Amino acid sequence: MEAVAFNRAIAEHGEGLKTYATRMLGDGILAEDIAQDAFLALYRHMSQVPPAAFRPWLYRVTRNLCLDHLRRRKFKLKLFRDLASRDDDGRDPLPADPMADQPDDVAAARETQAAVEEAIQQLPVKFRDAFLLCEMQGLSYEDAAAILKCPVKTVSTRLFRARQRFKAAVGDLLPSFHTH
Amino acid sequence: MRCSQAEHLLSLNLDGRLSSGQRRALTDHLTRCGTCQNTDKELNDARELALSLPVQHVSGGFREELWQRIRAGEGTPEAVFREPVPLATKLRYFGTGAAAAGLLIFAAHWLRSQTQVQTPQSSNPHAVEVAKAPPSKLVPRDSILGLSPATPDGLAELVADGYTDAVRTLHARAQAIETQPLTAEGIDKLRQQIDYANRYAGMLRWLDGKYLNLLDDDRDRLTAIELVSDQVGSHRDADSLRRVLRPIQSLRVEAPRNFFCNPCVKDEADFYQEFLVRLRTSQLDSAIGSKIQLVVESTTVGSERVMVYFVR
Repeated sequence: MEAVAFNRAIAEHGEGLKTYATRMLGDGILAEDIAQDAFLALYRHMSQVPPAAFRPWLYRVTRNLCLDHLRRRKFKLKLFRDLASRDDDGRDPLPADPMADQPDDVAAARETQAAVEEAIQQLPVKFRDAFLLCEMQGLSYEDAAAILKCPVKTVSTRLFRARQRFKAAVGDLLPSFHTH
Repeated sequence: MRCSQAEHLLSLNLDGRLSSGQRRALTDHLTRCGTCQNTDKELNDARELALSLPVQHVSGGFREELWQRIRAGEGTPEAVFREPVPLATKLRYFGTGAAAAGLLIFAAHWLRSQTQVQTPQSSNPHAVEVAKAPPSKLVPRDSILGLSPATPDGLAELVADGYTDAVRTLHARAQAIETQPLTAEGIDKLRQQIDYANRYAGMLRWLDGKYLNLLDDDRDRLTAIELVSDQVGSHRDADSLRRVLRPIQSLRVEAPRNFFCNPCVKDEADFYQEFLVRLRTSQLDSAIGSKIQLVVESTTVGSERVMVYFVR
């Protein structure tokens, strides 16, 4: 029974956790290790965590692991400038886009993606936390507040500030930027 | 609605967190404000841009590798439950710890003082012999017990010397003035005695709250001393003094029990620990016109050694 619930948790939250950790750390390989550590911790504490709380619990653990990595190794956060390293994973980082099958389009899309990633990485950690959890992963304010150990109102404010900064950072990439 | 408020509401609106009233107010504002309309559009575009980033898929061996680690008995990584501690929290913890340590030190010091106060003096078989000895110099506690006093040394000496001098002077006067007619000079001497007691009371009051906690009774006695002092000071002749002093039945000044426990001790502890000064002014009435006599006695009242001054 536990194994079924655990496998379901991996299927439901594995990619989300890895994506979150990747954006926190800027390193896809390390992010996968961290996601695995989070699931390992969940397995060891299955009896203490109700299934409904798996998601916020996993994100909280993943966040702790990421922050620990950032602290210990003093990461110089890089974006996905080194696209080759991701290509080594054998995965295409971009979603399938039938209109972007030309080399120039692919290069432009990658540049856009890199700029967006960098804009996220440039956010202060507090704002980035709220932005990644709520905006990118779609968690509720309440779940994010539980993960970040802060009031819901604080989550709302941090998300607002993060959106302001992100919007300013990617302003020239926005369609609306070119219309006015 | 100001544009800065509207922008925050736009952010909340993206997540569906606005009440109907807020949403209506925001909509009204947007119909009138082109800037906020653009902001709304940019926020939506920025969200789309952020969400266009690819999801990071886990590798094919992710699940199998995880199960292998579980079967191998690998434990929870240490960092899983390690929460970052903000600097403000660290400072708060430090402040709380320092305050708690200070409180503990204070409590320990106070407890030690209280324990010493409650030691029955009558248990000392040498109390009477010690009481008969003349007052001598006070000795700092640390020179006897090897402990550091809790108060500054200078202050301890000031208190000790001040009280020692007062007691010595009173003692000397009491022995020198045995029999005197109630003359202007006698009144002056009586006034001196009361002034002296008043100085002693002032010293106690100065100590109260700093190094002593006087009981209510002690404070009442201090007030009585002042009352007598004022009355004596305003009358120059024997008759008026007699009228003033008649209603005063008794006046007693009692040194608080912990007076000598902190910050210093004396070598005649049994005597001064429960030192009492009694000025029985009620007897002045019959003595006026003939003689006035000041008698010094030491006796035991209950478990206390008592120094008594009778004015006759």
